[in-house]
Amino acid sequence: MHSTEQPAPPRRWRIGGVVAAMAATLTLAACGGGSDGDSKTSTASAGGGSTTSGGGSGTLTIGVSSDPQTLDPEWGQAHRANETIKNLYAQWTRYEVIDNGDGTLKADLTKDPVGEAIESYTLSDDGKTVNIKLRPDAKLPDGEPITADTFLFKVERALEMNAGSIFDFNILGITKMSQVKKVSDSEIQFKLPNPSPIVGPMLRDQDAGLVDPKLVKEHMTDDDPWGTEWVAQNGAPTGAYVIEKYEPGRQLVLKANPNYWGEKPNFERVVLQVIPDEGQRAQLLRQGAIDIAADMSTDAIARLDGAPGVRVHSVPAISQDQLGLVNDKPPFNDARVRQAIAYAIPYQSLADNVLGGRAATPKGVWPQNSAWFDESVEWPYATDPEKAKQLLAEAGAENLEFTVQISDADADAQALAVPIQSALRDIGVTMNIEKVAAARFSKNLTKRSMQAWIQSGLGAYVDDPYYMAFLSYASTAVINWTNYKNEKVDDITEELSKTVDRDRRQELATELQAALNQDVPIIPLAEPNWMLPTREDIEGVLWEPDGLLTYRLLKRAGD
Amino acid sequence: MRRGFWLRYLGRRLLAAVLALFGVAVIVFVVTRLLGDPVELILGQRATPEQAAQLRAELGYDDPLPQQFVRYIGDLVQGDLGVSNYTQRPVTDEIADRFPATLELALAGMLLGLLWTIPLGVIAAQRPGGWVDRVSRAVAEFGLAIPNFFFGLLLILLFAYALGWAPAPVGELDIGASPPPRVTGMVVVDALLAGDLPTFWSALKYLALPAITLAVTSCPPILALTRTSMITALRSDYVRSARAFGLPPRTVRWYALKNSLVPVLTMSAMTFGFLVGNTVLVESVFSWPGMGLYSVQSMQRFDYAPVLGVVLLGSAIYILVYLLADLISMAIDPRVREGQT
Repeated sequence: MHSTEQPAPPRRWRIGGVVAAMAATLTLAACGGGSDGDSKTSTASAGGGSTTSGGGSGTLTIGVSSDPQTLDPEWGQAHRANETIKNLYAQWTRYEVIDNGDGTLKADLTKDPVGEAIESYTLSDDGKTVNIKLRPDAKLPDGEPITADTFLFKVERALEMNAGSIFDFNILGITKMSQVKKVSDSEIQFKLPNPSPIVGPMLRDQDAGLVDPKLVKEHMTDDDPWGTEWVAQNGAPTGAYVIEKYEPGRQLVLKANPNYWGEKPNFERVVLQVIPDEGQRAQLLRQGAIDIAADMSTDAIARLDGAPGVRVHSVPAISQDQLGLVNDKPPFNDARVRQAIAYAIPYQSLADNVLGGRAATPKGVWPQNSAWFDESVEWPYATDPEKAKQLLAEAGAENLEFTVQISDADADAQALAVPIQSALRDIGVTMNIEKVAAARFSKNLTKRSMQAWIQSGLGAYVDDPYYMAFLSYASTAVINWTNYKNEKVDDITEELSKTVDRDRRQELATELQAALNQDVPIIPLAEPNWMLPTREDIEGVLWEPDGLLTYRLLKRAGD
Repeated sequence: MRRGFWLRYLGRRLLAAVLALFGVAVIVFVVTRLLGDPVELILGQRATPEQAAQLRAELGYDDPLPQQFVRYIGDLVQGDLGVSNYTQRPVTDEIADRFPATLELALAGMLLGLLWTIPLGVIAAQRPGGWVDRVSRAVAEFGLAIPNFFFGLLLILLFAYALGWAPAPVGELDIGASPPPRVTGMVVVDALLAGDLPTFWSALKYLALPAITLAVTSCPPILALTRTSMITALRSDYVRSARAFGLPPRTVRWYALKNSLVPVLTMSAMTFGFLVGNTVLVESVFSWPGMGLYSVQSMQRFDYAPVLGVVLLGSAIYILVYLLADLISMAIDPRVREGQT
């Protein structure tokens, strides 16, 4: 009995011994890691640029919150996808760049964009024909020339799929391929129903970027006639960067396009490393393991300010944090109630305390850094609780109570809501704050089902009065989330849509601003700077109205 | 007859499993559809209502719910979990990308967890109230009380940032490093299979802190149960008889351990099931590219197919692990077997 039972324990324990040894290795790995190579330094060196794969000047590492939703320019919507797409696909045009002299750059919004993948574009005298001359030297990543067919393929794919990117063409009046003509291999022509003032800016949009037709065509199937599924995962780049490898959930590695015809990118590789937790992205930046911490809230950026080795780039921008009041339902269908709220907002305190001083107080519904902003238009809404109470009394809206909705993904909006709530309490208004899931919030916006909302960082990708009116303030505008309706604004929008003369456009823009400041369909709360925390040696940070980073221009000081 | 018994038993359990999964599918399907559809998110804010309507029709979201459900189950039976509407990728691909990372982490956490809890439980049971017992209980209570992500953060601050013994929490491997050729998808295992020792060592270092986090915060119940059931066993009649017959203490301990293992095994299976489904926050803190972040983001985006896929996979794992635990219990302990006829 002994002899049959006895051997059992040792055998078990032998297996246990192996397991224990493995576990000991794991524990050792955690604690004794200093012995070889030390991966802390090796992660840091990924930032230091010692692990390049081909002849450029190193690697840039960006910590991002998630993967891009898609690599297909026709379907990009979220910020992360848009930025990736902007850097992978050649745009038709681009803004000229002004050097701020402090390591940052900004788009020159006072001028029309110039050619990027195209050489130039000109409007006919009646403004209805756009002649586009192509660059002779533009090439696809495989070295084949970019021709008129490349451009036509892009437009056709967008229109046929009815994808998100058709907006860029529809707003110009292009809805059918018959309006887009190949004149020769190096020239194309648009026929527009009306003269359009925003041809250049729209062709600059990241989702108007060119796809590589050969790559896409290889992956078009009967089920997927435009190769959407393949392009979403693999991309068909034509821009300054192409894809070296993509491991969803982990990293997306870009490498410089060897056949890029424009100014060469400074970094040979760009690694977009998924670090979902904002606090970890901040910490990794402090440690120097990453060069740029992207997708950060204002609060997190403020906490990085002054950290050794870290620089927070901060550029005055054209986006706004807004309180939207739905205009066509009581109580906000009375302009006096909206004005009263506008008088109650503690603007200075929001900019200084909530947004850490890296924001301007608003000077109108129109953003003050827009090239079209007219400071002569009156903006009377300094914080004045007495005036607010008086307006509420006139409107018969004492004891007002309403609910404001906020997306749970919008940290800044949540931070702004609380002081607004208490400022409104002081004038006898009860504002309930309701936080909803991001997807639900989008849906409620689209359905206009809320009473009011707060959103941070709203801004037009194109700084143009027609674009902004068409998108936000015309009564039929798709993101007129407040159901604002003013016939005068509709008329101005209509005229702006076909007025090409810049002086007349400025007059119209001024009239528009006067109407908006009077009506306050939305209340601008603050105009936050565009901010990007990086290691202190990163330069060439370009701000454009879309807020999307251009990797090509980034460089390490001294390189 | 014995074989017949096992087959009947297995058949019954598998049938129950399929029914349970079907139930899960129904519930999740209904709940996700009640939330709304992702059309606005796919098209973005600049889309027109007509565009949204067209896409909704293309994706079949304007069909009656029962019809959508039948379509979904039909695909499911063929092993097709559908396509994510947000990323346009097949859900099976997305899960295959991410699940091995979660599995690897859960396995490592479980392994470490068993290694500290079972021996400590056994030793503590020898002298209840002794110092080993008191210390181990304190450790277990600490592990239970502290939120796992917070413990993970503490480990990161101490070992990665302050001492520099562990790598910064950027995932499974150094930034920009290439993973070993994919076989299992678990980086540590794949590196070993490829004979790539530097990568293996590096991957182990990245795995260590999150695995320790899970081991400390998820496994204390195993310790408590091992201790209790060992104490019960040591006080039982057969142990007393064995001692009376003068068997060596080591052999007696082994008898007791063997008999106290059955509940511990079930508890371990439960813990493992829990681990696979509850690594979300730990994954987030360590940038671990597993299922956690994927499932959370899919839910935020109302992306039906991945949500359903994730929940079904999680449920299937639970069911499978329980089944395995039951089978092993039955093999160890005939009394359990007798209960199932």
